[in-house]
Amino acid sequence: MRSKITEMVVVFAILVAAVAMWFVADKFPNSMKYARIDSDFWPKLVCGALAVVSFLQLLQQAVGLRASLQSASAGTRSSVDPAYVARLVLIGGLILAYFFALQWLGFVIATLLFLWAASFATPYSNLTAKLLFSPLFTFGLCLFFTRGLSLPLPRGQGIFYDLSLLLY
Amino acid sequence: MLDSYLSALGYMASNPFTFLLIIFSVVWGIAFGSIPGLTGIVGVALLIPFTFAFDPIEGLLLLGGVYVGSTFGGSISAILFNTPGSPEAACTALDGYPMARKGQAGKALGIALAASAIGGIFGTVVLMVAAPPLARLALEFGPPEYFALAVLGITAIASIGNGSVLKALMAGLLGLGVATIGLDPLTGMPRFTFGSMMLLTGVGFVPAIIGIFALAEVLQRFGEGPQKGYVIDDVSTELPTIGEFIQTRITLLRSSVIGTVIGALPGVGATTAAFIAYSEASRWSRHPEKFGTGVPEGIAAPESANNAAVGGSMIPLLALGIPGSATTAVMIGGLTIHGIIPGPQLMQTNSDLVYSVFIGMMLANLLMLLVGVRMARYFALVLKAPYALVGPAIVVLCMTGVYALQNNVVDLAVMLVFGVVGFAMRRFGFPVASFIIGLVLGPIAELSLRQGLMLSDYDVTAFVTRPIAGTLLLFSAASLVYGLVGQFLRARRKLNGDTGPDTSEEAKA
Repeated sequence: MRSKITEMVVVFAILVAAVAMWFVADKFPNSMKYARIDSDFWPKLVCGALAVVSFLQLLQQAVGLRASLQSASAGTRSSVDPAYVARLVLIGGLILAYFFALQWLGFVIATLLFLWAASFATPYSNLTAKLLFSPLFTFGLCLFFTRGLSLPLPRGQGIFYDLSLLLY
Repeated sequence: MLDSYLSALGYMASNPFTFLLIIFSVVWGIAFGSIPGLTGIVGVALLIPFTFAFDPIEGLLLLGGVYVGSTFGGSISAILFNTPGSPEAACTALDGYPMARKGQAGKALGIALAASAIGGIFGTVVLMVAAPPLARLALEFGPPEYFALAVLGITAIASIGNGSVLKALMAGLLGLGVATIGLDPLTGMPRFTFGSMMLLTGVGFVPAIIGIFALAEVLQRFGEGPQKGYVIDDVSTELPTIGEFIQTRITLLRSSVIGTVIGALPGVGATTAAFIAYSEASRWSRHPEKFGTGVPEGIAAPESANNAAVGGSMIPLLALGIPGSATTAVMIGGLTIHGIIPGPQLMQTNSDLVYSVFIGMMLANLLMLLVGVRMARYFALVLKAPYALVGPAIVVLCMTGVYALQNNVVDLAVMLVFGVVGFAMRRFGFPVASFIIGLVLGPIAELSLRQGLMLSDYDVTAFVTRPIAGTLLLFSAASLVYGLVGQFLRARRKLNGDTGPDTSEEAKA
């Protein structure tokens, strides 16, 4: 039941967003040369169609929800596993932290820390592998990108930028 | 023509170094194709300076081999890690990864490899025998034809996946909507950028697909925790048997034709070819509801199409001097380094070079079969490592590859956003394939529709009265009706509780 309601909320959000984007498109600056096929021509078509389809989907879900409320199975409760949510939040948070760390600390330090944190946050018993994998992978990849391919890697800011310059 | 081929063969036979170059380039291409973010374009671009050291034929053979190898290489990581190594392989992940999850990773890789080789050989044969006339046909394509081609792909959105048609349409429309972000291709006005300079160039396709596939997969796997059923540790690439090959022959042929034709169209490329071939394979399948769950046709169609598009994209390059794809545009750089200007005169003035390239590409496709089997096996070793190490490494690889694309942190942010979008789409049952088709075909559909309307003085009938556009639109309408009627009949059968014969058996019959 909860998942059906969540899904309805998502579809409703898409419907609202589609309508809002239609109005945003309506405000696009006009061009005399392309008056009949201006910048808003295609986005309005797409947003309009999306709004109509989302509305139909919402209606379909509302009918389904009503039917399931009336049925005997309405009493059953579906629950979200808290451990699942916790793991998801943890890895999501780590990836987000890694994204910011790449800009501040540079590739090497950020990647070392991220790989260690992620491997220790997940159930895996081989401590040696956890400890060795992070530096080996980080320096291997750094060498491959910077020396082998001459491709750029984030260098970080301030003192970390200077440190990165020493390495690549 | 025969004399030219014999002369080119003679050159290659007397210069065994060319074979070594082809082997090296295929391996290099597969490696670049399989690493997310690096793609074949980077692989080709990095080798261009080295072609200085070789003669023009050797240089072009090197670049051609990389192009062939990289187009297949993307499918390895797409199948094993749900992380398309290159945009062309995004579609392969849709059925390749589910098949790998069923414990058939080796088989999925084998199908991808065989389909790639067949598509590649088909595209090369067409290139060898019909490059000039096909190049002229490609030039007949104006905005109405491009629009009709995009419509052909878009009309499959509703029939993809085994879930709700409305959700598939929503996903497709969302993809079309996301594709409108950035500068308007006609007027140059910013759209949906909300004042952000970073969004002016639009949403990068590579960061978006890596986010949708790879990052969403990592989130999903970590969220669900360690599960034994997920371990894909027994991978020995199995090429399809003759029987399996015969079963997918129509898909392979159709997709190879689609790939070659779309590849020959300037500016469209292998990614579009793969998605249109996948759409058509799903539409004409007797069991379209199984697409996305790990069916062989879902791998064979995009792989044969994207590799056929390699040969296809060389057609306008060699016959007209117009690049058919981003990679061939980079290859022009390699040719001009040696003072060779591709164009209509090339076949007369440099016939040895042109025919050696044809033969070299044919060899590269055959070698890919041998090299691909070995390389996929080495890649599979990674699967033996625990996901606690592999998962974060995939995140790092994706971040590094995407950053290296343009030395741009915005691409990383796009990847993260689309990672969440991909995760949410899976969670709420929206087919990712429809979204990606919308994202790929949206810009082509929009631009060609608006250009076509402008050129025809807003006369919509111009889209149906032109022979190629009209035929393509008629074909789209017919296949849409066919797909919808099929869905309706299946739904009615389901409602009546008549499960009917197993669809897979139907396909075998």
